[in-house]
Amino acid sequence: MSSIVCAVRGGPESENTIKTALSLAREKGLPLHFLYVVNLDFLSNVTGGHVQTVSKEMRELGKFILEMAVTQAEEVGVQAISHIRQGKVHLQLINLCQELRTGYVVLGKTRQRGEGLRQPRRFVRTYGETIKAETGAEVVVASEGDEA
Amino acid sequence: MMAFFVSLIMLFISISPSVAQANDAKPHLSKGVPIVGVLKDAQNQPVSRATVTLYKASKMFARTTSQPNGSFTIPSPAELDGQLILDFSRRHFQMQKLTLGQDVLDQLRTGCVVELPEIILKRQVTAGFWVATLIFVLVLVLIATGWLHNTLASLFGMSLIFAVTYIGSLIHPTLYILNFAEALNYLDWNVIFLIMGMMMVIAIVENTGIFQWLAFAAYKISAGRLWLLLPILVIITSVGSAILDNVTTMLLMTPITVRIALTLRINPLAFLIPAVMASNVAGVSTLVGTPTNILIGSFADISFNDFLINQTPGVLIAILCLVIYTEIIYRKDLKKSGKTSPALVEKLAETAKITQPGNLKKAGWVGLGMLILFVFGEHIHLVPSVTALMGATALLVWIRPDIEEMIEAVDWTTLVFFIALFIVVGSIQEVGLISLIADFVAGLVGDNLILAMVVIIWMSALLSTVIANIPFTAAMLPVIAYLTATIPGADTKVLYFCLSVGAAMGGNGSLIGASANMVTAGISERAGYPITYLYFLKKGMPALFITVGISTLWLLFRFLVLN
Repeated sequence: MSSIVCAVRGGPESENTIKTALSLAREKGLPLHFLYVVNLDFLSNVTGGHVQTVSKEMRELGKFILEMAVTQAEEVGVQAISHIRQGKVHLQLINLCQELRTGYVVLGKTRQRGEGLRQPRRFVRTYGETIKAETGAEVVVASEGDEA
Repeated sequence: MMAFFVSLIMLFISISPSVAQANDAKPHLSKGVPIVGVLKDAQNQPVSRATVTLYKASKMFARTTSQPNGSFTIPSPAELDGQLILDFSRRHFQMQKLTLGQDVLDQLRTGCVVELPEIILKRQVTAGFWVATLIFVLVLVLIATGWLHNTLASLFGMSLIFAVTYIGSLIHPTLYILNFAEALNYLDWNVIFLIMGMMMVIAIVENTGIFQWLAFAAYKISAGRLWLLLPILVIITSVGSAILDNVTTMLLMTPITVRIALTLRINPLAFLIPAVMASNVAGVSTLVGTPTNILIGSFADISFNDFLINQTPGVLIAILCLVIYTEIIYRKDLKKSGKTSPALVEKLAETAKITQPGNLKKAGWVGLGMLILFVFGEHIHLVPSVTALMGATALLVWIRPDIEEMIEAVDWTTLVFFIALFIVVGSIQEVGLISLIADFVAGLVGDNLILAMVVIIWMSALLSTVIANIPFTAAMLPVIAYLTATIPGADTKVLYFCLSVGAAMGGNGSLIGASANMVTAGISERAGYPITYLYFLKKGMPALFITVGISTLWLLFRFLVLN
């Protein structure tokens, strides 16, 4: 059975992505999978001794953000499942899509500096093409909304 | 990897610093009365490891080496029937000769020890000077830009220094900077072991969940009053930063603070920005609150009590003003409060628990013991690093955690960073760059203590917004030592406290100004609330002026009025 995968990281810029994913889920009648990826790259140039503790804390934060997204989905009658992974966002997203054999992936146009990139349209398009090539899933880019 | 770092540190420890030993040449004539003297540089700092040679009638009679305090003792010949000339030579200094006059010879003939007046050696700018300076600047740039990890940048700098010394000096002797044995003299093991000890204590405490519990307690106490929640979170962060370190405090506080803010449906930055700024300010109040204080305390022999007494009042006032400032800039966010979701509150409560109450109690008792030793230990000459090591060991023996996990929890990369950094800074001290900087600053401030205090605080604060504060502080310490020795009234060590304030509180001026800022921004970004450089600059620069301004006034009052 197909599904929809949506990577979230919280914050106002994720709101549009979640809304787009919910809208798609209701339209297609498919279950929605939210993914949060714990990425600790920001620690690498600062400190090396707190990785385990911070990883645990970031997982709790990720679960919290996912809980908010799932609650939002339930409020509009969409079945949602949460996943938490650790590593690089783009790789973990592709991995989950391959595991679930998902039919749709929802991407947002977020200003990400965490992985060193601001995601302009060109990047999102290129990334979307990579996901489609690797997973066969249809990529849906969230429409631009109000920025925080 | 861990074994590599541990081995590297043990290697450094096991090689005892080879302070040059007195190396008397075998006299070809019998020895007479000793001649003693002291060598200093233009900044009145002792010159150690200088070769002192006594020539009698153009033939070498005896040779010795100056000690760490600059003193030397050299035997005179029993037969004083020729001209006696003392020759002083030291790398990076101009060679100097001193012909002993008739009065000295007469004094020697009477059998009295001759004490020479202070001999000032002049610096010599060599090719090594320029290379060492360039390497130091390169290390600063690599750290500031993040092109290399801090530790790698300092290791790279250290390796370049040795490469130039050992290989470059074969090509041209003036490329000589600092050899390995000389470099070991610049390592401050008190700093290394104090940081190591505190890291082990922090590793136990951070796993207990205490910060998360405190943050949730703050949320319950405030009962939805955001204007009250902000100062409570600031207090928790401040105390944590003063006792542990501000990076750890922010690593632990930021995720729970974000969750609290999300539960309250407000922008987490309204809490995170005040908290991280407070962490940069509060760390100044204790010896162990910031790495820069540890460096300063060890170099200048400033105790835990000295920091508490001289810095805490100013820090408290600065934090109060910081709270008022942040309540104003975030007033719109603090007025909002959407409906909180009971499910989210329940989730919050689930995770904000003390997970290891037994360990927390033990850590509390050991922490109390350490505090007592920090406060009273100076009366028995107990150095802080020993207190930290004893405390860490007591905690490990009492708790018996997985020792490999504990060893992994120690940030060995930071310790190696400090070791390499000491050598890089030592190299610029060796070649005389620090002396030049000291001369420049002394020329700027003259004998005016007030001017010196203001210049040091504000120069440190503003430079800390762009330069990593740890290497900056390490390089400034000898400069401050010179100013302390030459400016009337500075012997209270006030200038060191000024450096402490500027180097730490300057971190509020920009996102890259402090590691605590960077980790907070990293976590916040991963929760969907990025903190851009410009955003932090707009909020942080006024905070810098407020807190550094208040601390300036406090230090002026404390040392010029109260003293």
